[in-house]
Amino acid sequence: MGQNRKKRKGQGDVALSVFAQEKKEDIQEEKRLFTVECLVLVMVFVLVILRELIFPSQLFWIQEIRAIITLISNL
Amino acid sequence: MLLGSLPLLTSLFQFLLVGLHGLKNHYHKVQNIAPRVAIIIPAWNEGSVIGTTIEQLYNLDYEKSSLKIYVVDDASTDETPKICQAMHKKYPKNVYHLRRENGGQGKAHTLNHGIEIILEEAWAEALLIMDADVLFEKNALRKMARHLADPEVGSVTAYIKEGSEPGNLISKFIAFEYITAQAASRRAQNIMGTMACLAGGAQLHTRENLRAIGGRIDTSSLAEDTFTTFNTQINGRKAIFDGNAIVWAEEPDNIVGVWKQRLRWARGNVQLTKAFKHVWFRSKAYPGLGSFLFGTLWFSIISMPFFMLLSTIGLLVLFFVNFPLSWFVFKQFWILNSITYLFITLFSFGIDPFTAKRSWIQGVLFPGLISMAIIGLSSIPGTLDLLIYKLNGHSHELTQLSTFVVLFMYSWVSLCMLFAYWAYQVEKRWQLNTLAKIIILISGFGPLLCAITLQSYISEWQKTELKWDKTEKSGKVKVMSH
Repeated sequence: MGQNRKKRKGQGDVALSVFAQEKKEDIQEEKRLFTVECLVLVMVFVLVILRELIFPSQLFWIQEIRAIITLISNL
Repeated sequence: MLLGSLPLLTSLFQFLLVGLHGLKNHYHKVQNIAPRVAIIIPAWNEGSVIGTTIEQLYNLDYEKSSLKIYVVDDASTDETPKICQAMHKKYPKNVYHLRRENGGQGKAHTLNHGIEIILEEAWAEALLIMDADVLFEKNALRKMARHLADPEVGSVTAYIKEGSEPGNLISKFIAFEYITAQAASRRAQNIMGTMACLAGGAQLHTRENLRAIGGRIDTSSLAEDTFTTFNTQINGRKAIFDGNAIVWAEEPDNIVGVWKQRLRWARGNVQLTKAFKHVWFRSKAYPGLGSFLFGTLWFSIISMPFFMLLSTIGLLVLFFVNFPLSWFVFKQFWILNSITYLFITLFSFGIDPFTAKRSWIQGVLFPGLISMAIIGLSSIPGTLDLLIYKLNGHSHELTQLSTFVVLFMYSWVSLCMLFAYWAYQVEKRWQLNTLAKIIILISGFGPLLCAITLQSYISEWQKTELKWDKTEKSGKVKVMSH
């Protein structure tokens, strides 16, 4: 079938530019998702930090992060 | 409690992988090819949709000489045969009507009837298995077929979107769910190199792949599509998801319909888990499917109801042993829940903004109003403590009322499944559809799916008869423009 596929490749040549355009758009769409994910992560991170600044709480993992930062800064 | 958090953590992990699809995907291996595709549509009384589906397929942006549509009519008693014959007359070189006189055995048997005939001829280079109600966007098949240029690929699936117009509360819940379960999860599975399930409504296989898995679809279970996916990968071929190849399907618009459809899927998954017990966590023999990562993801999903029950039991035991510790753990659990909810919901909206625009309310309300209230309370530090303090009559001693509220909140992770089951019963027994929908809004659509998973274990344990309960279609689906 691999050979058939290669032979038949020519059949789609009419639409070669369409194929290339679609491929480009799909790759861009996947890159957009990467950007969206980064933005959402930053947004959630900022909200968590804001929450911590406005309402200092007893979140154990925030305390752990603080301890690690203190440990690193003391090195 | 830690086990209870596992499904949350695995969901978070999957969603974190999605963005990486922008950096690692299969698009660099696609080529402009147009293999000869035989499309198999299993049909049992699909008179309301089959005509539109065939027209849509014939008008796909794909070489007509490379396209043959086979409707495998499973002894339909409605106008399906008449429509198929009329379509054959209209497009004699492209549309074929295969009739099974003794039908009713289910989708897999119907498909096998068609696959056998197609594989007997040398014409087809690839086979597209789909459902009678699924409408392909014009370029969807071409987008799927381009991946077959990579000889390592055995099958490709598309992104199925819920396309009922105008749609209602339930169908829009499904529309949102499909962003998370397909557009997101399957991209994550592409990254991991292991696909859990090729959508039964749109799976394109190479001829070699179908031959390698025995030239037929598994008939022993209710999850024939997942069996095909696993067998494809066990035979050393890749299963790929193309999130930009879009097809539209009509999904159930009532709770009973969802219950029937998902119970079939969930029982199929339980059967598959048993059938492939030699695969789990055996990465040397089965790289990918046998990996620790994939096994953890699989079991965290199919065991979600048990994890929810474990969370509740853990909290309740802790409540009687050490209340302050149980209260601390409860708050941490819900903070994790809040962060996961926020991230998954917002990111899902970003993944598919078109669907999000239609079903953002259902996306926000997915966990249900009570869970959302707990999420809200736990998001602002001190509010949960304040609530209990006020219920205690401004004291630190628990009163009867505050004990009840605390126990209710601790148990909610499991109680929500009971509420969802109640919604199902309300609709099924008393046809109080509006009341059932209100209960679902309170308990959540996610918990409904978990309740169905739990029911699937009970049905398997009780060995309830395996019935192919077909989802009824009304032809409301349409390809929506972006």
